[in-house]
Formats: sequence, C-alpha cells, structure tokens
Amino acid sequence: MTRACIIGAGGLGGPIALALAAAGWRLRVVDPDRVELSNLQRQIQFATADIGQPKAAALAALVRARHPGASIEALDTRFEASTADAITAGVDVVLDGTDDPATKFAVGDHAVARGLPCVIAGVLRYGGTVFAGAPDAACYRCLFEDPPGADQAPSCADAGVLGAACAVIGGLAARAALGLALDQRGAGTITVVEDLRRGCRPRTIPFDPRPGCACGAARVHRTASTR
Amino acid sequence: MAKVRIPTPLRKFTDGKEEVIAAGASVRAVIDELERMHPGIKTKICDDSGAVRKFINLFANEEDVRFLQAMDTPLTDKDELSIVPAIAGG
Repeated sequence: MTRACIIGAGGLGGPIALALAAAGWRLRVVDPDRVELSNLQRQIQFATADIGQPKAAALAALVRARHPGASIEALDTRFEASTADAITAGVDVVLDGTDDPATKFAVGDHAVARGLPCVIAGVLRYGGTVFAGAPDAACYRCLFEDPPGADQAPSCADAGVLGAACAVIGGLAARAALGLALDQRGAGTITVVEDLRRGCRPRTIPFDPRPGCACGAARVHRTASTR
Repeated sequence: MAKVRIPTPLRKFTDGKEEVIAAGASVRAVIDELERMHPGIKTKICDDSGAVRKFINLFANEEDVRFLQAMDTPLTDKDELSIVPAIAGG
C-alpha cells in the first residue's frame, strides 16, 4: 500500500487527500492551522461546524467518515527543518499543497535530500500548476531556482481563488502522485491550467534537470518527438 | 511575432488577457514588445540585469528556453511563448 504525506490540509490538501484515500493510500496530513470562516469558500472539505478545529484533524475525520477503512494520520505541525524528517518518515511520496512559497521549496529540497518522489501544487484565481519530480529526474529547483519574494507571489487570500480551481488542481496533483508511485511516470514535468473560465485544458510540459542544480540529476534532453 | 501565454499573476498588466500577440523575432524582443504594450510587466518577468527571474520559466512551444538560446531564442509568428511562474497559493 502506497504511503504519502500531504503538506497542507487546505484548498489543495483536501481534494488530494480525498482522491488518494479513495485509491487506498495510507496518508499523513500535516497542517498547523485551524479552520476559519474565510476558508470555507475554497476548502470545501470543511463545514461551518469545523471552524476553530485543527485543519489536519478535521480533514482526517472527513476522510475516515467517507472511507471507514482508511488509514490517515493528522499532524497539527508546521513543515520546517526540525519537523521534516518526522513528517516524511516512512512515506513513499510527498505532496505539497501549502500556500507558502518558502514551504514549497523546502518540501522540494527535502524530497531531493531523502530521495522521495514529490508533487508540488499551486493554485491562484482560475488556474494553477502541478510539479512532479522524482529521484534522478528534474527537481523543483531545476525549474524554479529560488522562491519568489512575498510581494512577487500573491496568495489565495490576497488575490482570490475560484473554489472549483482547488478541486481541479488538487485532482491533478493526486493524479501526478499516482503516476509517480506507479513507475515515476510524469517525473520532471509541470502541468499548467491557465484559466478555467476558458475551459479545463491542462498542458503538461516536460523539463530537463538544470545543469549545476544541487539535485545532481543528469540531463537527458527530451525533444518534442521523444515525449 | 509570437503568441504569449500570460500567467494569472501577470494578467493585471494585460487587462485580464490570457494570451497576447507580441511582435519580435526573439524571446528578448517579444518581452520588450510586451513591455511596450503593457508597461510594468517586464520587471515582473526579468530582473535589473535583464535575466529571467529565478521563480519564472519561459517555454517556447513547450521547450525550456534555457536549453535553447535563452533570451536569444528565435520566435516566429507560428510560435508560442509560455510564461510559467511558481504559484504560491494552496
């Protein structure tokens, strides 16, 4: 049985957890925050009664209610250097659905250091992206070398997000994790959904390891004809 | 000339447009034309030295321009330039 940890139990973590639990995965969901009224528009796994509850525990309770046999653990913890090893202990795949650029890069770096396949998803307004990486394939820093500054990457709270966009991007993130667990399918790609108002047209773009990247993955250039 | 795909965080510069046609025979020229058409957008894509910011990637017809000729990658009116930034929301 595949084991995964999901960093962030919000707009993306919810649909990711529901999809992977339904696929029979053993899950660990991690989030230090509590449910707020303003979350409910996009974090549809939560109800008004959950306000004030820890997000990870509330999400785990919903998953157990839908899938009584599900194995899901909730950690009311922030992903950081001092907690990363405990959070990822024993897992086969790491997924990030947080709303913090620094955490996304930290999750990507930790996955490289521990040799774990990794999915990093982001959503904003009407679209988003899903990165998929694995050992010996390109890593998150092969694609983006450094995190954006606070004024360079608006959050959902700042710029807004369509609730349905979270479900679409979360579903694509779960699909990416299933591919990585199967045979590292999709490793070294980013899937882009640009604007759901104009239809759901995900584009998956392969990319190569960046020369000099700390991950050390070897470049095997994939031309359009070999994809 | 190329069709440029504008990511969500930069659409405030393009009146909400998802795609923009910009003249230019290279990535650099297309970005410069984009700036002429939509002032302020270039500094969001490039740093003071003119290099692409490290949390943004450019793809010409889904090929990473870093592995082509970077900002000097040629473009024609049949080409598409995608601007893909790291998206923070979740």
